[in-house]
Amino acid sequence: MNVHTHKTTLSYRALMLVLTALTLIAFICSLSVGPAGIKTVDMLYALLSVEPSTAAVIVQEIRLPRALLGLLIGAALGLCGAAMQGYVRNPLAEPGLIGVSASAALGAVITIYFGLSAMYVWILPFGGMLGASIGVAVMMAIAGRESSALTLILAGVAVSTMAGALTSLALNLAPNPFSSLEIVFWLLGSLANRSFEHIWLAAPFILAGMALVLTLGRALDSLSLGEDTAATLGIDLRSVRLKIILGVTASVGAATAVAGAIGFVGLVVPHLIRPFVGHRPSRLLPASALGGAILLLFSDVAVRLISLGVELKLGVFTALIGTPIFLWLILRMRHQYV
Amino acid sequence: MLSSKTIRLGTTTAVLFTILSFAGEYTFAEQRPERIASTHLCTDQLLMLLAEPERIVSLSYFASNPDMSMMAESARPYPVNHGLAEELVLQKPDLILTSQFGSPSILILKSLGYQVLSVPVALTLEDIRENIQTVADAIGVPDRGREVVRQFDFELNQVSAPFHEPRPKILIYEANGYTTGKRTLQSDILEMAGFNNLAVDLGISGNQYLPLEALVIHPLDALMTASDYEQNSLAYEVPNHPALRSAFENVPTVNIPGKIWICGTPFVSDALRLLTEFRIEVVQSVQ
Amino acid sequence: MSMLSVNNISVSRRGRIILSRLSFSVHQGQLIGLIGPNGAGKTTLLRALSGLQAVESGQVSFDGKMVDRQNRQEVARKVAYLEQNSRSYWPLSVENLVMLGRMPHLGQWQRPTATDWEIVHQTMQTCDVLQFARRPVTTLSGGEQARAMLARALATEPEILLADEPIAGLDPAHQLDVMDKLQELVAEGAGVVVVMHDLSIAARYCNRLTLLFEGKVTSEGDAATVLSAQNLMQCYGIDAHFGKMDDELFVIPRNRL
Repeated sequence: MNVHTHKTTLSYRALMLVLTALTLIAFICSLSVGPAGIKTVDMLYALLSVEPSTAAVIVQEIRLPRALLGLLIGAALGLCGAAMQGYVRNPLAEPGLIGVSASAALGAVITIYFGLSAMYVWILPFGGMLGASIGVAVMMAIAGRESSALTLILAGVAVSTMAGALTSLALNLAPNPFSSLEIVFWLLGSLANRSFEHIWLAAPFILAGMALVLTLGRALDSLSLGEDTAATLGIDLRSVRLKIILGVTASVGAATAVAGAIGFVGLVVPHLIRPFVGHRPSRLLPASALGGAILLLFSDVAVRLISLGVELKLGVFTALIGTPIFLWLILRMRHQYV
Repeated sequence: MLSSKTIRLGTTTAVLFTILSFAGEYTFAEQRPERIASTHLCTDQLLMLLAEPERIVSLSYFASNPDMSMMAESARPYPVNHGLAEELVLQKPDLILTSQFGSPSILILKSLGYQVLSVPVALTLEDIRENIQTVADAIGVPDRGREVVRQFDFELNQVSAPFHEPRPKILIYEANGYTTGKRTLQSDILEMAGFNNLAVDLGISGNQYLPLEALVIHPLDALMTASDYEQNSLAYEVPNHPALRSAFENVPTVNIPGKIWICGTPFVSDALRLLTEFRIEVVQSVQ
Repeated sequence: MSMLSVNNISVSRRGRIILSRLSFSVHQGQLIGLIGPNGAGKTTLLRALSGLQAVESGQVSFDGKMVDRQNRQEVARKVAYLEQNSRSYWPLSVENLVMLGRMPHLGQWQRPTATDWEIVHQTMQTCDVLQFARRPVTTLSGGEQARAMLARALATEPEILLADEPIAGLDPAHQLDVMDKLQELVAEGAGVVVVMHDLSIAARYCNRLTLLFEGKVTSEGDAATVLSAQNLMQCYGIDAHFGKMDDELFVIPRNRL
């Protein structure tokens, strides 16, 4: 009997190894691609160089923060998507479900609207993170303390809708065509032109949030059997709910605040990975984090390679490739979720 | 900051491995920038007007778009940028011009020590004069700046309305039913051309949706559309609402392409000229 | 000896009284059949016993201490609850699903030990689902799934098992298998409360029956006492054939009154 067990463990290790290797490859690709056309070997040399050559400035100050953010944000979206789907036991859940993405976007847009974002790098992401916190606080007030996953979804939808409406209002009242263009471009999501200041600001929240969510594996496993059975298995549902809200708010809020709304990664990645981990939520969490990082890093490479005169926005690209993947998944899985 | 010496050197050596000097003794105010990039349509045009061509290292990709830029032809020879930090670093500018609503790359370039000048959006004719002089001072050609401003004022004088009464009521009808009111360059110029902007009377500020009812109450003497394109897009079609149709029926109409005044450049005098001529037509048709 | 009990509890939902000043207890070594018509409050009582249902008045206690003051995981190790129509939202493999029953025994980051796997495979064998070990549980038939869910509850090795209609939807052979398993569990020293509608099976297997009606215990005791014509008429509104074979009572519902 134990032979079985060891076999699954081994294949899980193999999966994690493959995903880690792919993440590394995607990260190196991200460092290697850009208008400067630096060869991968030269890029690695420039990465480690201490001399302030143009190549070193480009690789260390422009491409490295971009690749690191791709890694962090992709992982946060993949992880939180998997956690949300596990928590509400609904394969259509996405990380922004509790209203965090929409309110982070609103906070960021407000800083653009008032022309504050051009003053310092940190103002826009800070506005985004503030927006996320306020949005989620409102969501929790609406949902109440003892809420089930369903009321959480409904309150999240209410907050998302409100934040979306206020974002549209900001666009509607934008003082001039340039600020509306800036808002629209920001909303489409991008990792271009991000600096280490973005990382110092967002990474602590993203990492802390992810750490919190990663502790929920076992609770999410038992939630496969519903909230009642999970509770009788010793799971404290209130603490799980609080942890998932705080974890997702910190990591997805900070991710959205820095990169704008990047859809579909958190929705699609858990689906792609789930069959490889025997559909177990606990194993899906770390695997989905790596999967999200891979998808986002490669997407960010693709937007730089696809030449349409101007760089494609990352959020547009992930939606463009995410939708067909999602449709294919729905068709393939239709029998499972009837 | 980059010194101009290392940059000239940089153009002759391999682009990728030039060692940039980060010497501290250099300050922007003391030395004239020789390699200037612009990442915004509006600063693109001011830069072309003011700087010697050899000092311009790149312009935004909007500058050569004839639908948006008044200087599309002149912009064609220059290299373009898409507002990406990496492109701009490769172009080694020692001054980057942008607008208040410029690309986010500006912030990363600033933190990398590049000199950046952020030019505010012009909302009045006076703003245009100020912006011209600001850019001219920044690139070390204050006299050229004064000359461009003088030329601009001369043109405005040439074409502004010789008399100011009567003031026909005009409305700007833009894509999807938007209009333009207070605190805009357009309103300032309409005023100068001897028109009365109905949107201002209606309390509209900036770009806002047009309240249909107000339009029915206040009849129009003239209408201004703002189509940039030869082929009309659906958004620019003359409105189909019966109230609007009756308001716009038999009203003399002028089209001023939006590109003339989307940016605060001396080219807004063209708009003033077109509007002044149009006003004479309108006043004559009323009498 | 462990004992799970509710004392004088009341539960109402939107003004409707579900349980009214009800007392009930189960000891280790007891197999109690909880019977009664639909809406009598059986599931609510089971949920109250497991701590899932908040009570408006009265106490729920385990081992003489209030349940809500005790360590959640410690209670989970000793009291297992098998939901009615329990199902898995994800197509987990049967062995991974059954392993969830070991969760109360494992620390946050602790992996299942060889002993845990042994227990899991043993309970799978007794519930006749071992042959499905690697199959996704969602591909099993309803009866097979029900057995897998029972295996999950048994894998906890609880002192008290609260099972809500565990044999509904099973074929007669597997109904007997499950009841035999519950009886075995009781023989090993556990206490079991099982909600069921098959009165004959209840009479045969349970050493005590509790008849609930309109949120109150109407009758309690051995099968002969509880399954009286009077009780069946009053609570279920039926009249039934009663019989005895090999000293075992059987009840066949005949007419609705």
